[in-house]
Amino acid sequence: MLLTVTGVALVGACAAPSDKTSPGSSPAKPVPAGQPDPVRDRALAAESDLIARYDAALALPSVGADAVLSAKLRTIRAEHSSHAAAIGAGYTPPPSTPSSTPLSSTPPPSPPAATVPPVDAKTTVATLAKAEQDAASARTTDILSTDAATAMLLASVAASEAGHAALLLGGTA
Amino acid sequence: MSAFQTALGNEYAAVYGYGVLAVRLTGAQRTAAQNAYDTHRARRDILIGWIEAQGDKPVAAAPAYTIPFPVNTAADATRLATQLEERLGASYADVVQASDGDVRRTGVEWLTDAAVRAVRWRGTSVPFPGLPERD
Repeated sequence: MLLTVTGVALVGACAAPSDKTSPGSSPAKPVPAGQPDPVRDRALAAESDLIARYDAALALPSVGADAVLSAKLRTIRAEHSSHAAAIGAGYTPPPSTPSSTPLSSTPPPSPPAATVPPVDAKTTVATLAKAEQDAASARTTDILSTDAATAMLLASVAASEAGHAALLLGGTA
Repeated sequence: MSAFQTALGNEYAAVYGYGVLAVRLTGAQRTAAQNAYDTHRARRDILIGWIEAQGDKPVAAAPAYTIPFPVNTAADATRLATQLEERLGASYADVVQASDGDVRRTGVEWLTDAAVRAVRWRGTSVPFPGLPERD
């Protein structure tokens, strides 16, 4: 049955909120252009680590032999590239860090999967899912300390990563 | 309208929508829809509490909400559930932006929840849940 009464929230809701009644505006200010931003540096390092993990996984014969899995991993990898591009947009990493490798000065949150490559696809997928979940969880502190716009972006990235973990592990909503 | 009020409107719609769509699902999907229904009812009540604590009057629920297409099959049901969660994700991205401290933390958790549910209903991921202008 098609119920059509007052189309309040289901269609076309989500207007941008006004600041007037916001529950407390964040005191954090955006980092000025050209200044180091440890929050962005950490987020970029995490994305770089995840991309490396997907590259390592996609290079495994067991993954390469599974076309469906390979396609899924390539799609998720591309989403991490989108994350990195969005996080890095308009941001110039500190001069001490070469822009071509902006992540080298920040240790990754955990050892790259490439150091101990799991060989079977099932283990690889489980390891990737855990890395996604860990990356999502690790963002929370920075999301709480950074400016409003960066917080919203990083929250979306963290939510995407939790979604990747769910997609990799399967299951029902 | 504040981020909370928009989120509340979308939670009302989600409760209504899950009520409509759950009956088209079976097995684990039916259970998942019922769990989502319960979760969204609880969040609706939490949001009402937050809005009242700010001294505002919570928006009222409508008697019914527009369902954008007929929900006759399980595929229709999961498509609607995906849309409901996507709208909630956008609401909670706005809450994250408009808040700080514990409220922002909760906004992150609920945005994440919405994104995970949307992935499970949709079967695919998106790079920027809650930020449809980026996807």
